[in-house]
Amino acid sequence: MSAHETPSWLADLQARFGNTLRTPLDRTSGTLTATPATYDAALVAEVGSERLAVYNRQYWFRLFGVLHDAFPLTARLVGYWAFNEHAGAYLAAHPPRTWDLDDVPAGFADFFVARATANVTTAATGASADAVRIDAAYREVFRAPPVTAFHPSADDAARLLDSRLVPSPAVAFVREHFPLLELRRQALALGADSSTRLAVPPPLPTPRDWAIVRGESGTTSILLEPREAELLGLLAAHPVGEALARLESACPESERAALPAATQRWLARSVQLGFWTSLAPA
Amino acid sequence: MSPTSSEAASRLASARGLPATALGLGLRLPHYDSILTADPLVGYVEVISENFLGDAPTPRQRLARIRARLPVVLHGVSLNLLGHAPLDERYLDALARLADSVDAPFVTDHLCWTGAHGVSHHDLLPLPYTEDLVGFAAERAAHVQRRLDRPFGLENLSSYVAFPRSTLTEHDFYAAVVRSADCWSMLDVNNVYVSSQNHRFDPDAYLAGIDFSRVLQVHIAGHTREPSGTLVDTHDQTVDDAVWALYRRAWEIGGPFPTLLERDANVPSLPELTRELARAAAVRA
Repeated sequence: MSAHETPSWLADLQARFGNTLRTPLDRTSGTLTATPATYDAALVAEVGSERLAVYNRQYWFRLFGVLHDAFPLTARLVGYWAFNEHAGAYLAAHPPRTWDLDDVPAGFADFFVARATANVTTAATGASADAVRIDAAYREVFRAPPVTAFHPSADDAARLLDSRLVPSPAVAFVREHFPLLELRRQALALGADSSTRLAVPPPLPTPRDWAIVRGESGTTSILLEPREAELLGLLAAHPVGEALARLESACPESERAALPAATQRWLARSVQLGFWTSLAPA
Repeated sequence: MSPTSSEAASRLASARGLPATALGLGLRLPHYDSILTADPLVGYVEVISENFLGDAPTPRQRLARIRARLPVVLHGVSLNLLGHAPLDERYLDALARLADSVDAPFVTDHLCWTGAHGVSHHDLLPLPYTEDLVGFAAERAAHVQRRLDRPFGLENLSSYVAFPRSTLTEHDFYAAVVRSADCWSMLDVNNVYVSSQNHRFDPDAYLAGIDFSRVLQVHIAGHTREPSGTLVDTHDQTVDDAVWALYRRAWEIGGPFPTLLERDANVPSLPELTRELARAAAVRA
């Protein structure tokens, strides 16, 4: 593929056009507005600058739409205007690099948390930080490749304590300090065409941990017991034997007697629900 | 098509792999389930290739169910044929695997660029129409067709800007690329209309410049007129009467051809969409 050279003007024109269509939309009027007067006027013919605004708006609104779809709870919770401000900053720092639009949201959750909580920590920012992680968890679980769940053999049982359980990419664990999973269901039920903002709910008396699990019939959320969530976190980071020892040492004396039976139950449930894909050497 | 072009007609029928009068729908998320029981008028569906190239199994499982019911053709939006950088061979690998998996009769994408200098803009962007771009575009289109090992069709663009550098009309550029690449056309009649209004050219002259012996399929769709008068290819409304009229003229010049209705926003129910598709059959009767 080399008989025809790339036209000499092509890269320069595409750089100029790209810079123009990535021109940030102006927010000062209270609505997102293109500013054709700032464009590279020599780029196109005739009524070009006004027409270039079509591409400028399309670029931003398409990407905002992708982020709205990927973070439906977060967008509803902070409101679209504020969400788009974060989204614009994210996209300016991390413009799309691949052909896949679904790659665009990949780093947004961390960016949002860092930005939204940089100077202020209120209940609202805490809820939005939880929300963006919950949305990200659903996205990751949906996008995970096909997986085969781990079902231990007799041999596996023998080497279990010295091995690591490999977490399934089709399962994610999230903690909520507000009843946000229920709020996410409400956000999705509103549909993409509604711009209704959802109020931050009162905080929970104690945080709740959930497993977001992709199964045969769709994605479900499983409420975890607090100590079960702690175990699952340890299992993801340590060999099974070490994870169990760490859990026991962190466990208050009052819970120790019940811990072995509970641990067996939690491990069995994690296997049954497909939380792991294999057993790997420590 | 002239009566002496039976070889070309046979080649075209083989490339299409669909009945010449087939009617199809651009399949979008709200209809992934309902399409399984769609009116028999819907003879095939077209899906956006990129929606099925990722690792996630759910989209592919849905597509397999649909493919068991209907032929599926692939329509891409991220090939970046006219980008200055080399084509993304990993993208082409994934696209070829997807085409194989659904046994797609053909694959199409746009005669445009979508990204440059490491940034993907996720939009179908125009360029000046020049002689030196014809060879560049054709060589890449021919490469794509070889890589996919099946007919590859280029869609004409709707555009909102023109460039001082252009030396060719859009339809001359389009025809030259398709001919030089020995690939195929995916003629979007709405795009012809939108661009003709935005750039003040005669859409009939455009149609007269199309080699219909290379047209795999025709798209119809709706557009929006902005307050400034600019027409934007939004696919969020029913097909405009002026576009139906142009479609009828395309049919008179180059029909029959498979026809596909696209709708990407404000997507109505499947029965409503099917009723609009039925208008294509009525218009050309």
